[in-house]
Amino acid sequence: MGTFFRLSVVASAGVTSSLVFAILAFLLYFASPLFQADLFFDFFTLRWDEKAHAYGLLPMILGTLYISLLATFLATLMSFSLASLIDSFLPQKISRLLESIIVLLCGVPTVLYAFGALFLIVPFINEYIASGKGLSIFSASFVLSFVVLPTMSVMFLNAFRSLPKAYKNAGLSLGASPQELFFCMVLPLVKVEMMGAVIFGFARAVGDTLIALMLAGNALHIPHSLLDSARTLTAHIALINANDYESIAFKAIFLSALLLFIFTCSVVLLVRLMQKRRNNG
Amino acid sequence: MKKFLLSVLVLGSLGLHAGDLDVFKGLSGSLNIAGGTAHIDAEKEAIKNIMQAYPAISITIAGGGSGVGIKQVSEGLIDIGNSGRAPKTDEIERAGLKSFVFAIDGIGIALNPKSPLKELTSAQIADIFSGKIKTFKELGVEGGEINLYIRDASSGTMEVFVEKGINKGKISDTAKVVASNAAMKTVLSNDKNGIGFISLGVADESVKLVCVDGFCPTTKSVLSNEYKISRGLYMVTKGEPNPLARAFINYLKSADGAAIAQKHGFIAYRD
Repeated sequence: MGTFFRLSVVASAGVTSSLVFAILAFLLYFASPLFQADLFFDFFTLRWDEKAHAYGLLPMILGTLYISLLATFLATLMSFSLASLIDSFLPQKISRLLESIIVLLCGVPTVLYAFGALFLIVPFINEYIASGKGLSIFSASFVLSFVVLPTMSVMFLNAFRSLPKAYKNAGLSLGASPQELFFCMVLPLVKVEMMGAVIFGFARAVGDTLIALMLAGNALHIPHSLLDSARTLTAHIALINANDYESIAFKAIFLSALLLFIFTCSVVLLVRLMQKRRNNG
Repeated sequence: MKKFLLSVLVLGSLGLHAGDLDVFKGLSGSLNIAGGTAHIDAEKEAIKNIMQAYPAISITIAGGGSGVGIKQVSEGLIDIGNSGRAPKTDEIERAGLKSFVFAIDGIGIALNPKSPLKELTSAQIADIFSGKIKTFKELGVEGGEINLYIRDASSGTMEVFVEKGINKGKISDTAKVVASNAAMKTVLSNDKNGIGFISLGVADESVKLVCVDGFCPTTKSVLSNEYKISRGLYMVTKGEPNPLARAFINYLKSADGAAIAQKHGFIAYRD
């Protein structure tokens, strides 16, 4: 039984990890015709217009960055406050309740957030803030931050709780207040874990398709303000017309996917690297 | 149980042309349909009728846009691809596609119901979508800056609009892109300065349709071709349709199917 179990674990680990490489190989294979010098740099220009044979991906890259950076910023503020309240500053009953609510939120499908926002936030912005700017970077990031929030809060909480109980007891016996304990002892010790939570949240924001597709407006121009419309790489992949396998537009989808893939991988590597350096140092 | 039987009886008696469903006699299995978003409501109703009468048949329908429908049917992923435009010659040749029209649909230039604008000329429409006309004041009515809404590149509605609505003109890159006819309805009903275009079959009182060059989009004006922005609604198969797909197409082209198409704001097309 033991060997059977071990074998099946090894097999499933093998399948899973080779899948990642299979996806990478698949993307590289389909995007490879684009790696010719004269063609390749055309993708990093500012205009996408299939009719004019302009295939610049920069508006989408910028759109992705703006929306996910803003969403990560908002989500970090909210989930840091939530997690620290739950961990150190609220009566146990309330923090238990809050925590189970957060865990519940993890399971809400993103389309519900997007759909809700389409009928609440978008008309509100159109009516009271800026006419016709309802589908914008701001709406998308704002809603996206709620999608990232539960995961990030849970990671923050785990970080705060990763410290041995003895540390806290030692602090308390020295007469430290909960505030002093939290800000002077816990925070400095879990810096790396917190960075990890933020970076994973960012990766989650970059990878989300539906919120941006439904709420950011998907316009192809370069956004100039928070209330401008923008298109993310993920939404672009969903919206491109790809009937023709030979077309450059079709291959550009794979380049977009490859960019997203590389991005997420480097984020994970970055977190691992930070953890490793901390453990060694 | 009594209630259930009663509702079955009532539902059964509603079918006026009960014979039209007979094309499915002896058939079973599954049929997958995807693509154009204008087709969905009408086809859903047809599917409901079919699956109630023949529980052994299961039919699924999805959106995605006309381009997606044609692509997926070419690859053999689905049995019928919905398309709001005729398949192009290269698409037909590549996969041996066959297409069947079941209805004619107009494409309306749509606004928020609160907008005072009633009428536009083709030239004005082209200028609005190219970004040359930027405010409602330039059109002679109250209102602020115009917000443009268009569809994605795989939309048949979009292709027909570009071809017949703005004569293949340019579209401003500040236009916002939505992914279905239904989404177009939602964004326009939420934006009092929005202008977009929409399948007449999908449009309802949550958007306002303007008249173009003196002709308002109605069944009559579309049929007489006085209202120019219109298209056929196609069902596309790879090669000859399989028996179930054939039955589905025949059903939509029957008297029952025509009644469904009309109920959903299309003009039935039976050749």
